[in-house]
Amino acid sequence: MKTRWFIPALLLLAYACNTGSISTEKDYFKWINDGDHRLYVAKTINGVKLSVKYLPPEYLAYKEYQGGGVAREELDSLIARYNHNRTFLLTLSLEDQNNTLPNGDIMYRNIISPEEYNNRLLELSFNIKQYIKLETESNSYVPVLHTFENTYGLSQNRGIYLVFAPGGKEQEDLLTSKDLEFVFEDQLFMTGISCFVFKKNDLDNIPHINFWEK
Amino acid sequence: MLRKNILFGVLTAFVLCNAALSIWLFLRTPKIAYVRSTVLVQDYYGMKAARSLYDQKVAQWNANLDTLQSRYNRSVNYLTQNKNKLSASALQKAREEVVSRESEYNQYRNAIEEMAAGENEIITQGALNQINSYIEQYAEKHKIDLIIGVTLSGNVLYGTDNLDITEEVLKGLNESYK
Repeated sequence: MKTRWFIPALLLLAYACNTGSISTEKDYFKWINDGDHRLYVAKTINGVKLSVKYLPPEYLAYKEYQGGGVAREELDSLIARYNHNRTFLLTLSLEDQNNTLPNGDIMYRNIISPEEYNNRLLELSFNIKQYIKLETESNSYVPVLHTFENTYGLSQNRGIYLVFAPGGKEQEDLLTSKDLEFVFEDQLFMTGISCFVFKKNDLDNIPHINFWEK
Repeated sequence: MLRKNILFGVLTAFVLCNAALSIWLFLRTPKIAYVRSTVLVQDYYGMKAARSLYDQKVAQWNANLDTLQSRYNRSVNYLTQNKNKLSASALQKAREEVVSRESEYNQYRNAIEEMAAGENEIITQGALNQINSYIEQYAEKHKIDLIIGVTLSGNVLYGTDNLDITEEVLKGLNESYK
């Protein structure tokens, strides 16, 4: 008799845990960065750690809202706009954080001249779309927007924000594809071609933000 | 009775010492395995993707080279067909055009030959680094002290199949690719 209500309650609890909302920013970041939720995938090759993180539309809107770039009443339309894109953060870092490079910065890895450094910086800042694509079962997309973080020597890691936003039928394909394969064809740090797979199911089951207020 | 107990004690101690020695010997014996490097390199998805990327680049360069060649051919044909009809200045211009197109073609061909070698090295080295990193992780995980890469021109002449971990490594390597 008791099990009659117990099982649905358990299912409800499990559902709430999966798609519910998280009440603090800290918990939300922890959730996103938890490898078990498969929004964050990392690989280490030849001493270089490559990680790719999916950035949910609500998270992007939250960051903008926190930065004062958007008003509270504009949030819904902003989230709706972001819902048509897929945004990722590619982070490059060194496995050995106690390395002897200047500031421990990955940008100096295997660099022997200022020209090589400048070339790497230029490629990462302006030509990264040559090296990155997002593949669905039927198509391949290049990022329409990419931003290479300038850390001014304050961080050993480097991040690149990448937005994929095709139009028309391709947009539908991007948003409905069962698997998304983020491919990084690295020719700058000699880590080869790396694939990071994201499942639609995982991208669609992210908890909602309910800590909007600053 | 006492003698029996002593004998039992000695025997037990002997068995225990023997077991401890066996365990110690087992643990201190280096674990060795080998992989057939050629198979790994040939069948690794990352290497196949790298080759495909390189082939795409080469195809693009060759297409550009073909365009330059057809431009050169057109300029040569124009000169050949109109040699007798052109004025002296037009003839001179047509000849300069041929020289310019030929030089363009040769410069690009030399550049792509140089680029092709460099790109091939960069792309292939990336995939080899992936293989090496995976083997390192595999050895740590399975507590293997030494993994030998066997090649046709290498120094290893014989190894039992038990030591061959090529298929297992290849399977894990390909799984880690995606």
